Amino acid sequence: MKTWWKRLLPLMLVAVVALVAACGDDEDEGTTEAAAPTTAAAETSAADTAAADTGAADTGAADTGAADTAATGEATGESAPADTSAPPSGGNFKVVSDLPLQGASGAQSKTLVQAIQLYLERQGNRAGNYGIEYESVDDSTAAAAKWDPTTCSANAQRYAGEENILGVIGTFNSGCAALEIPILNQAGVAMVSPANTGVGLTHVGPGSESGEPDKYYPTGTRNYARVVPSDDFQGAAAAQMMQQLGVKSLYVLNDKEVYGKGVADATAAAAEKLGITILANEGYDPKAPNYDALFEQIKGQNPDAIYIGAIIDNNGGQLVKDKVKILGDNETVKLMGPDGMLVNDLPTDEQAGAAAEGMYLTFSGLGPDQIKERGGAAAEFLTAYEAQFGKPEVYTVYGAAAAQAMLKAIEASDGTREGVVSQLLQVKVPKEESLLGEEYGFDENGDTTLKDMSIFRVKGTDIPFEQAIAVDATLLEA
Amino acid sequence: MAAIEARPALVARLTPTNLVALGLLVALAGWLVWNFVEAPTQFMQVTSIGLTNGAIYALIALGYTLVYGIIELINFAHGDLFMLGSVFGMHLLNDWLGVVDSSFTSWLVLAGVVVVTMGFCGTINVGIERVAYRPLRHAPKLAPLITAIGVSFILQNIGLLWNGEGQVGINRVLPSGTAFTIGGVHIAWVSLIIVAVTIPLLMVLSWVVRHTRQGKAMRATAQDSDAARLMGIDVNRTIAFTFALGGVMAGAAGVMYAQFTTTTRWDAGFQLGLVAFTAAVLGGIGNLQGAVLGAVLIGLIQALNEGLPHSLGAEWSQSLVFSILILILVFRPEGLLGQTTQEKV
Repeated sequence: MKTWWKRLLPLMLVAVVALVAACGDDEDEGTTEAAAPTTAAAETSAADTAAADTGAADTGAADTGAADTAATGEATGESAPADTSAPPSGGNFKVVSDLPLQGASGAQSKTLVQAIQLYLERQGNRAGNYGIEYESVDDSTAAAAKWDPTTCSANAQRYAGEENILGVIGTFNSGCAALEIPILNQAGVAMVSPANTGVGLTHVGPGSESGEPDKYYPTGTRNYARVVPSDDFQGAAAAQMMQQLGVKSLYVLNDKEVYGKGVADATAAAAEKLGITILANEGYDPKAPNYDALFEQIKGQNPDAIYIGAIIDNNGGQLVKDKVKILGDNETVKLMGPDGMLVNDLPTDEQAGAAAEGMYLTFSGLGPDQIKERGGAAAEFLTAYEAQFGKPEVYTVYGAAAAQAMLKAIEASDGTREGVVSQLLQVKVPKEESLLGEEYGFDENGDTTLKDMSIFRVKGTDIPFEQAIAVDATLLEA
Repeated sequence: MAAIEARPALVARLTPTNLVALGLLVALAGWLVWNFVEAPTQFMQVTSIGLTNGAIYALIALGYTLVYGIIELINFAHGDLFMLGSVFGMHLLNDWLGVVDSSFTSWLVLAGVVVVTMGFCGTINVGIERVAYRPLRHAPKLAPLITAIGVSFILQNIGLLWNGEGQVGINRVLPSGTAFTIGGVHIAWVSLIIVAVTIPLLMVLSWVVRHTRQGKAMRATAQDSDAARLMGIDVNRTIAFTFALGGVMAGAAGVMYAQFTTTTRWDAGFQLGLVAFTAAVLGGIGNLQGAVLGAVLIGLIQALNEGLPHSLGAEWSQSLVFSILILILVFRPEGLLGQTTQEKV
């Protein structure tokens, strides 16, 4: 009945697809520095990667593993910045960064990798007596198109097992940090995040959950610090901005993640203290095709402002579009979001386009231009960065600052993991060296002592700095 | 796919089961009336959104139900075919033809794009049937089912490689504003056009299945493919034709969806496919009218739940849709318009 070649057709199709998938992988991995245990994973066809995400929850991504862990070269288009100047003494230590290099946050993450590389180069790839090698590791998967829980855990396990890794610069997403900190805590690896703002990672406050932060530190010793203020500050800044705009009633949406829900809760709590009526603090489905009906319901409640506690990757662009479609422009009904929505792509056609016009965004820090105005090492570094890579994103310089704090801790240490952890919270970066333009260090929780907080506002296809906010301390009480 | 037979009304006798069903229906009606009385404009506005979403679901659901009706295969790849349609249609319109703004010429081009995308998806679906399903025609039922899941992943990955991993913005060519306003309810042009495209497509499809020679062959094959073959029907060609029809619907849905939401993503087909499949089951899988009814119902349930003043809210939409599915299947296992399947011997 059937001729033999007809039976082969499916096989041929599979072969073609495997080939295409393999080509795709090659494009993604600019380097051969893939960690040994991940090589096999990287070879599996992209079909596996997709398989993982089809479960309702991201946690199904068992086999995506670290398929993309080695994306070092992607940012610069060259191979991994292995230690070129071999250190004369002190051994060869490694620092890794752990960031989501794919998805809507990917473009920003890549600028962090560039900044970290640039900073290390300017330091001669050294921390005091120690030679430092750097590797950029990806904690996102193409399938999830954002940070992926399984990849985060697998990455942390890998760092724990690789003895020469002294520190981790990361993560970007608080949800990912919540998974990595406990693993690295037990392994005694120091961690400095350039961008985590989740409150409960370090202390109790508005937006933290019960059991936080102790559940992240099973050994009882703190091994984690961050160079940006947390979301209790960001929530307070958002609420103060709303008060300034005359907002009386607020509808809060969140993407149901550690970060999105946390910053939404913190904002709602602070706004309530300022006498703003919170109509709801509701989770939305990031995979819904549109949010028309949701905004119709919100329209019925007639809020003065909408707050979206989310990362841009969770369909943030669509939310902004549908908000404007149903509720009108962002002048009539104000729209505000946190730093997770603050990417240069937001007002472009890739995301919300013209609908983003007039949207306010809070940021746990200052914009690159404001940091530059402070002069000194910060201005010098940013100028060098711009000359080489162009316009930085808001978090770019914080990536370099996290690397700076990490190198300071390594420099002061005895070259062991324990040494680095014990030095981490003692770090003080003086004003003249600081990449943030002001002296910064960490308190006993690992939170930065520099509490910059600012508001950005979309204008055309740009998101310029609007104003700095001095946070009212009474809004920070739990 | 077979004609609907007359059957007893839902509440034939007052058995306890039927009383529970009746109670639930009364509760549902009460909830709707409560919301309607309180906010009539909002109610109607949300209903129009639900109908538009339902129309898109219906176009996808038809592909599931057509294929299931004829070879009893749940074609899991169908949602992803829809996604490829949206990606292809978007690239064809925005990038290759460079049409990005709304004008009369763009609408004509869009109409052409819809037709080309329908052809594109139809061809792919026939290709998938030829390569992945036909060789397994006589294999145990699980084999083509797993193959369908495999094809679904393959299509997703093609979308991923083609379109990148994130959301991709689409320029809307259809007019964006409000077409008309009745009693404070704004009906958007996009919604109007989507419904205006969907209804004729459904009617044409229904006509093809009921009144053409090919349609008769489809119905015969659905009833008994061996007997149909003995009667001189080319069963393989008939099945291929069915896949072509399903693909064409997915292509139309893809472009309409892209114009409606103005974003697409490589995994857009997964959730929508699941919803459409649910719609097909809800309406009675294998039944064309049932698929449309199920799709519109799901669109409405989601929209009403998210958009009404007194409702569970967006967080619960999916749970609510599936709870209703479970309830309906408990009371009517064959779906709303489905027939009790007879075991084939």
